[in-house]
Amino acid sequence: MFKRTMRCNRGLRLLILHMTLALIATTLALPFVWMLFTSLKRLDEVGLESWLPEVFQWHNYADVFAMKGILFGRWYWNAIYVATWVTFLQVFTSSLAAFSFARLKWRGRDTVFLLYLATMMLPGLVMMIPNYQIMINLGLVDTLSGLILPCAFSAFGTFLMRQFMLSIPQSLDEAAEIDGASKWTLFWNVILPLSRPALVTLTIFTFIGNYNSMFWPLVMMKTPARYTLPIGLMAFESSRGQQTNLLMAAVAMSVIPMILLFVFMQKQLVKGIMLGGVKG
Amino acid sequence: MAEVIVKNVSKIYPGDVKAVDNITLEIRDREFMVLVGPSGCGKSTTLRMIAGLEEISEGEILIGDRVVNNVPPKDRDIAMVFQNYALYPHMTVFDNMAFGLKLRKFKKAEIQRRVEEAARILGLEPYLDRRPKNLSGGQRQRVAVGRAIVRKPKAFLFDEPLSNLDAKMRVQMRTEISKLHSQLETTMIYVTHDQTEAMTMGDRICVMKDGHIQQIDTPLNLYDNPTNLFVAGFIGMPPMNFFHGIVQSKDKKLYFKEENGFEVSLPKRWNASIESYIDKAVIFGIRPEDIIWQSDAVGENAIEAKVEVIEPMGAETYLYLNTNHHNFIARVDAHNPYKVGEKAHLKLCLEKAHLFDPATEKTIT
Repeated sequence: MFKRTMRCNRGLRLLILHMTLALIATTLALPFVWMLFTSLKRLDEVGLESWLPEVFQWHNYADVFAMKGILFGRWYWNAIYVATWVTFLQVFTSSLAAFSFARLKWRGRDTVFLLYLATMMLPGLVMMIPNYQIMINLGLVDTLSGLILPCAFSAFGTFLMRQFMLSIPQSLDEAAEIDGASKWTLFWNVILPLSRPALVTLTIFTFIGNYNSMFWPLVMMKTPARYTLPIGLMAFESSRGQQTNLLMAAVAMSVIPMILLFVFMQKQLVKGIMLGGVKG
Repeated sequence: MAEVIVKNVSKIYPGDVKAVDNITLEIRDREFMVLVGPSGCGKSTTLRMIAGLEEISEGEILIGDRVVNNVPPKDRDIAMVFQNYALYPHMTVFDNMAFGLKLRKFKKAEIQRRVEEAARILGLEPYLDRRPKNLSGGQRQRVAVGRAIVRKPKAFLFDEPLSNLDAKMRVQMRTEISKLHSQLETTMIYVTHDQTEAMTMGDRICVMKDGHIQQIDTPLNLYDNPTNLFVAGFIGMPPMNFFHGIVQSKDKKLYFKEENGFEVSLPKRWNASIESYIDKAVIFGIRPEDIIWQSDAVGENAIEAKVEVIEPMGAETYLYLNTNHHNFIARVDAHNPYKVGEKAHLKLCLEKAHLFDPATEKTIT
């Protein structure tokens, strides 16, 4: 009797939990579904009560590429190019810095780390003017390199990687040292491969953050051919009136890289976030 | 193969904490030397200084004929096995063993030959393609040993390598490492806190406490002739029993009189050493196996005690006894029907007993 009551209670709890989760998931998915349906509507259908288009306008997707003044393919490529470079550089520099902060002993190491960490407290906008000034001095305004360079280093990335590297047993360093490994070999052949979950997490965070970044490219870029997607998408609203259906088709296409990233790295990402959460 | 000499070595940590205090230790070529002591005695620090993983604050260390104080670990020609194995989790067993050789730019064929030879010696051949996480604790420790063997170093250093294994596996690995030592004929320095490991494996044992060496000797000599109270109590399981009391002289014979308790006559050959202790406090030490259960034990060197706990070990039984004033342990024949609470008649074999000076804790006899 007691057991049966327990089972019922447990079943009820699970039901409530699943219904709540389903509700949250639906709420999150609705704008996405709306975007997909809108991208397949005619322009005059946009904003009508019916979510579904009368006839699916698949050619909207091709039209995005053919629109005058809209260099969608170019912007798409720019966004991926910049995000990939930033991700590669940031993951590389963060790992190197983290290795130094976590595994090497040097005077003032922890103080320097705290100072470095303190830069995370500064809002990004505060850094924008000095960064822009530096880019002017380097002659990198309105270039893709100007978008990449200031984002090649990250206090957050260093922090994330350091916390993970701290959890790797110190005896591995000592074993490698006796085996004859240099510090670089230790980093490259031992510590970095073992930091894979943190590397994947940082890769995803950095890629998505940079791929979606709008303000810095907006400040830096003047030539339309060098826009990235987020500023490029604004052109749908400004250049030829509001073409919401085509804008939605462009947005739908622009999220594809992120969806692919999630699909392929979901497991590693969850593991990485959990590791950061538990051990950080 | 080489001898390792530790000469007047100290390790001082910031805040003037002396982990190792002016120790001198000579480990002979091909010797199996065990450093043993309780936690914090400085044994691991000493080993790590020999390995080059800790800087030496004072003194010098020689491996072979070379002073290695400022030589980095990789150039000391030593190999080390760690307590937590320290295997590279992302590499296969083969790669773990080959890593050191690859870094030293050995030819592929030579690496292959050495790793396979080590794997054969350690019974690891079927596991060469596996990752460490797919191995048992014993197998992982064997890989760690294999990684050391392939390098053919002058000396092997073991830092409590069996501590993470279960009791059965520990006994098995203990014999395997001993066999390996006779097979490889190399100098081995082995750190442990387990006196059984020390006794069973070492050619000689160095007992340490609070950064100082207490005694260096062969296992049996340590057991039979400890130089002080600490060594006497540390070596041996169950440990030696100690009784506080005084030396008394009656009718030209010397006795040990326990505080308000029993009295035993001391062997004549001790007289010269203990004359100066007459009427002075001493500590009397006797090993559990030298206390014999004898139902008709009467007269000199016989004592009575109450049985409080009985621990049958199979081959023998440990009796936890009480003399009204003092608890002690006797190791007795397993097949007597002992009863908790009964009065035991015991005979003390004084030939192997010891007296210690309570002030200096040094052995008097």
